[in-house]
Amino acid sequence: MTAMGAMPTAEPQDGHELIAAGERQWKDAQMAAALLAVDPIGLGGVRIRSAPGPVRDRSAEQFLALLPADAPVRKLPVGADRDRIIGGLDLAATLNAGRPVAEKGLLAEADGGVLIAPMAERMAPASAGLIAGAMDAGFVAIERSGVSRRDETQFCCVLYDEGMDGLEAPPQILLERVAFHIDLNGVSTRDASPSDISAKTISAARQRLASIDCPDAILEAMTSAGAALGVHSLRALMFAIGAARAGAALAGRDEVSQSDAETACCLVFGPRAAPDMAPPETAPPPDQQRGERDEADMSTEQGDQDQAMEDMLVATARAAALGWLLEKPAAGLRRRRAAGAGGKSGALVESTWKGRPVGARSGLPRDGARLDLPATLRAAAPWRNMRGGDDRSVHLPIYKNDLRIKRFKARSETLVIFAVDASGSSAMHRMAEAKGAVELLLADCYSRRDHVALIAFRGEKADLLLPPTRSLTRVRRTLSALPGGGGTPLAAGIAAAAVLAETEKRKGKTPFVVILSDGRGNIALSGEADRAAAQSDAILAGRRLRESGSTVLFFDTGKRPSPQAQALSGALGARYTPLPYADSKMVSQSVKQVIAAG
Amino acid sequence: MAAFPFSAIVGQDELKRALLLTAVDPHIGGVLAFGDRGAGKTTAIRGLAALLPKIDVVAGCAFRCDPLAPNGLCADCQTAGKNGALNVKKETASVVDLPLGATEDRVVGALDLERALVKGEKRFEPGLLARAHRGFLYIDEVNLLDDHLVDLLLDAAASGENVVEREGLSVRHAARFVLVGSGNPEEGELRPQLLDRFGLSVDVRTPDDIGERIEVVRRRDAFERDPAAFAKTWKRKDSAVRRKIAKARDTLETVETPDDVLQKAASLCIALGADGLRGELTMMRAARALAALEGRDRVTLKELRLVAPLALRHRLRKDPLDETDAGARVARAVDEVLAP
Repeated sequence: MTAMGAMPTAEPQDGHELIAAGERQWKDAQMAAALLAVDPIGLGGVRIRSAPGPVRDRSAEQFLALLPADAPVRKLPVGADRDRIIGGLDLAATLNAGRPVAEKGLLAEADGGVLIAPMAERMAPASAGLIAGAMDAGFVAIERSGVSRRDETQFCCVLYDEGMDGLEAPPQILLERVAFHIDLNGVSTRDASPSDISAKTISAARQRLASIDCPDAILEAMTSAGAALGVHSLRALMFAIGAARAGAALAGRDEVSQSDAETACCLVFGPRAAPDMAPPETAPPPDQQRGERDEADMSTEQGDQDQAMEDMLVATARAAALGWLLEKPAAGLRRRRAAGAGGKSGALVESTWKGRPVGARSGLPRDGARLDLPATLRAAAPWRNMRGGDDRSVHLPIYKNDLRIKRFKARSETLVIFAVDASGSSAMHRMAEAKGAVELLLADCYSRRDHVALIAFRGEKADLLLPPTRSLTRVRRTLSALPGGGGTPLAAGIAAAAVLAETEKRKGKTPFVVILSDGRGNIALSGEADRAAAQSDAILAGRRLRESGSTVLFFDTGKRPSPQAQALSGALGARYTPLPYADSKMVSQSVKQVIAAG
Repeated sequence: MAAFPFSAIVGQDELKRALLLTAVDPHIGGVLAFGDRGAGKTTAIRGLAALLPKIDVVAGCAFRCDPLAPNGLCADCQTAGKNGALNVKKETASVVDLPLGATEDRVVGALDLERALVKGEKRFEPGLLARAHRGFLYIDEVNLLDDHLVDLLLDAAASGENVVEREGLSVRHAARFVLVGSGNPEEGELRPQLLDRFGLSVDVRTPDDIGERIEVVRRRDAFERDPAAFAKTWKRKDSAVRRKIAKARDTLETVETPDDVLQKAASLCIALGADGLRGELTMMRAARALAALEGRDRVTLKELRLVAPLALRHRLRKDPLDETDAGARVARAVDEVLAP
């Protein structure tokens, strides 16, 4: 990750000696692993942000070594289908037994152990929903293809997040359900020291866990600290308390101490802290909350002590937050990506066999078509007596014309990527219209399969302000304050759109790119203010976007149509529309027409 | 794992109220709980499941037929009914989960594979819709549900019956259930047709108040450490709620709705431009159920005030450029129209 080199070491806090960022990250990871090993189910799991490599492997090894020897470890294959995740019909056993035999899914197999999800940032929302559902309920319910059963399962979820540049992240629904978020990017193998905690210590702590008390004062301080850090979710709060309790068990204490609470707040609240809450100098503890506390019937002295503890917790968690804040999405699409590095991970999604099943039709399972066993059996079953007579040794005669194959419907979800020029004086106006167009597109009930994303370019770079979403709520929240002004890095904007379009295409979406600009770039890809280079870079980036095969709409927002914009539009293979008076209704209408035309 | 007791849930009054109302009068048409993650949506629904009063069903009937409603009986029960009185037994109303990964055949029911394979017999195996009949059908992350399943649900919810025509089977059975959906709007919006099917909708927010948050954490903590002991502490309160529901069900039909309340309800809907009559009807039903729940014999403006946001919030015509929260718009209209 490019930003890591620039990551400053956080200010040393009281009691912390100054250590290198990488080493600290590793220590945090080890601590999280130990706490998680003490309470793997209660704490849900961990998200590990890291490229695959020896550091991540070592971290995983250390964690797994702390678990009971018989704890199952299951890996969730990328793109695993639902049958594999939650279970389904066991083909061989079904044919053998002559009755439907269910097969456990990965989630049920991971019961009492660990589920590892590599490339979690690419997980389909439906798969994430299944996993989250199982974590909440403590069981998986299978309701499919002649099988109805329930497998109890409780597991610890390890999410490997290999997302780059904040473009991709594991599904929120899972991030919410794991206590720890660990960043191993930038940790070198030298930092990755062996663990000094033994499985025996962990096992002893696990025994003690149920009897650990959490004093009210600490409970209250942690609750207030969470609120002061802008961590809204109650689940995160419960995780922090659980982590503190695991910490106390690990240290051999009977009740949670302040240092346990500090560690827990660091690990759980730190990465979740709201951006505006984290920089130490800009976020005084909210007075309003303190006011409420004073009204409570605690004595002043006690109140002061609690306040001191809360402040301490907030301070330590804030220090831990720093690394994450620098890494928050929308930190900018780096130029490196624009140079053409994309396309190496993952192949294009084939849609002839993938997608959601929409039933079965008769046919032979070849050319990649998959056998639909239940449908086949159903087709053969009624003929059983006629074909096999009363011979019970023949389970079920299946003839060729009984064979059924699965039909899939590839997702035809579209993604409309808005790349909006937020530079110069008219930026605010243009952005407001783009935002209006985004909202109109989403609000229209016919287009509910559309996802939208918004990239704004200004100054020296392009920012992904709104990652692909179809949630109006999210659009409103994210786009409520839009930045504007500065130079026009048109090429960076187009390149960012191209990268995003390629990424999403690989996930099976059909991207459309809408560019709102006057086509007068003045910042080159290198970041320099050079009008000529800016223009040629823009054309180059435009070709790249064209190669990605996306449909492009170019709205020329200049006062009068400019030759540059038309040239660029030609390079993009775009539909060119002059739009001297920005108009969100017209933009959304045009986009809708183009989508409808396919 | 035991469920977290319903009465031990801190705050979330709207959500609890909405669920109780549908428990009293299933015709209200379901609850949509949309909002923050981790605010206890699922907890509330599981808690409700544990305190639903028992209902009369025909003993041995796969479709849980109501012995007191002779018109809604399934084919088997109709035949049995002609040959003498039906056996009745008490059963807990079910809260059936519709998992995201469910397939169509499990939802509507399909050929019983085992029977077909072993005995070569054509027999219908009821699906989730049959199991949810006279109870609740709960869909977590309802906004992630596949479109083809949503279509099935819409059809069943609209007609109150499930019609299966597949694999040579032709089955029709009653499927009246209270649809409860939960989800987070940031994962995606809900399809408008499905949105309209929900009688009530609740905007679930994580509490901001520190005191309330502390209380939530305390109870949750106590529950996780010893679920049995915690459930015992709350057993009496839960039983009281159960009795309240049962009593309200009995008195529901006798609750009167005065004309002036009806008029106010109509003007409220007009003021809000709420689409169609559904909103108004749902609102009146909900107000009546609330009056029954509180032991009143007539609906007053107080009930109307409390249920209006629940019934109307999701029915306002959407102006995509108006960012005012729909709940706030309803509240404003309530203040204007129902001013004393």
